[in-house]
Amino acid sequence: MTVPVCVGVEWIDTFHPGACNQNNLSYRDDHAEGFYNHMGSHGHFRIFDWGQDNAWETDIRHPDFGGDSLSWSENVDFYYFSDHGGNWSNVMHIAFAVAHTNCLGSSNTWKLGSRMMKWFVLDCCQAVLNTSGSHIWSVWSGPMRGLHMVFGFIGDGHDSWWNSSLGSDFGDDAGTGHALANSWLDHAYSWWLDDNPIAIAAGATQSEAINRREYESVNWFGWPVTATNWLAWKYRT
Amino acid sequence: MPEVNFIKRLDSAPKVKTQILALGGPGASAKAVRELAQSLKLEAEAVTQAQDATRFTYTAGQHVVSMFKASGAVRYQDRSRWQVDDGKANLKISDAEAEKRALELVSAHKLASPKEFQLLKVTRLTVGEANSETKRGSERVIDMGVAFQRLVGGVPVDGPGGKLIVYMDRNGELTGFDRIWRSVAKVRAPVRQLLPPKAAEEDLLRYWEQETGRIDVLDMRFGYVELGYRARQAVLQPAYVMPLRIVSPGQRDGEIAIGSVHVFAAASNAVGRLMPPPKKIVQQPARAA
Repeated sequence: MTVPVCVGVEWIDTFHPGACNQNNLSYRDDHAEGFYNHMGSHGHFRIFDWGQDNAWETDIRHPDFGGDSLSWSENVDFYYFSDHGGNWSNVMHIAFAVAHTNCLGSSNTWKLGSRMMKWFVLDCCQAVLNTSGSHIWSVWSGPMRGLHMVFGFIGDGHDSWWNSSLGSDFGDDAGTGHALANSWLDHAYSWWLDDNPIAIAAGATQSEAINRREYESVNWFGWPVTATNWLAWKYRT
Repeated sequence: MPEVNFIKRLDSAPKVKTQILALGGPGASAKAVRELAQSLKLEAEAVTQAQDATRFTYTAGQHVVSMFKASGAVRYQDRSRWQVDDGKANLKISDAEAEKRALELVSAHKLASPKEFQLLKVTRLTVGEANSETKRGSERVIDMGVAFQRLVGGVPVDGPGGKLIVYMDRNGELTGFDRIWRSVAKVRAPVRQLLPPKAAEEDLLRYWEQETGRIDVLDMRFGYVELGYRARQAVLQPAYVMPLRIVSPGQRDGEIAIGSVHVFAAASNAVGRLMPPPKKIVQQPARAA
């Protein structure tokens, strides 16, 4: 048995000509809704599933920067985002199909974990560009404001029928109390597509960050990160 | 229509003998997973067996063996050691040493015949930490995963399947393995003729013609294609496999890109298409502002 947690997902497959145009994707709905439905099948609460034009940049932007994150991404424990992403100037960017109110979300407007979010899956490219400790720190220490863990990829990820079960596989593990970092690395690493996943945990102390990285499951829901003094990460390359 | 750049091409079809092979059934059952676990000599006071919609599992203490119903693929993990940092490990093992040790483990546990595979890659699981004062990381390698690629008649097997992956801890001991390796039942048909790589390129251009931006075709590989854990597969046949990097139309400040793969059945008498048709657009009712 696991502690039931609240889950929200956003995903985009289809973009439109104009200011927010990106290449279309095919399997982001499978990833995000696979996670959503498999978490639900294990007794977790499905709170929102916003796809395509319904996924809005304001859902993750903090009110201090004019956003509405406290009503959406910060109103769930587990937030899974599947779409295009890019990382430049040590700032993570995620793409939206419509400008509500921006085409790109930028991590320098996020305060992840400031209300409720504990785990954030960035199922898109370039959560980090490389494994330099200073780069990982520069990108993620600022936006992690109480967030326990972020899950993403080093460099590009893939959108393919060969990895379309990623979200459902991770949802099955996360939903049944497996250690989250290990599960993400297990399912997101691809021997055939060359995807290199990374899991990053925060903590007030080094041992706290390491413990989260190694052992945290959804059952750690009630143990807050009081300060992001340390980051501990794990990746396979 | 996107700009398409073929970075690495094949000039002509490989001169190798390939066939269209009928695969055997997955052979997954509670009995099969129990026998596999027993062959691994997993010991524990309490043993449990279970199944869900996708797999049979055998659990003996920290040891878990899974067998997938659709594919017959197997996974073994020692949950107390697989991918776990003991706080001390700091592996400094070369790829060659890791491969040698992995081959010993494959042989000891009879996971596959060495004539049937080749090295695909050696990977390292790394842990690191940084703090607000130094802002720099310190890192250690805590396990090595060695992946072998199946060969059928000397031809490599591409795709999620046809893989044997061996995970080792700092002592070179087995912490887990994955094997996706469907049995071949018989030759369904000889390959009459291999289509030229140009046919694969033309198929790619047709398939992706609605895209915008740029597609870099990073490589063109030739081999059989075997699917993953959860997929049913009746036929193993040769294909051209093209990894792609799809770059979105210009961003103001940086680049947004994603990877994908295009697969084209190479035999003139191929059984069906390998690449699924483009997906229909999934829509939701408009969200209230």
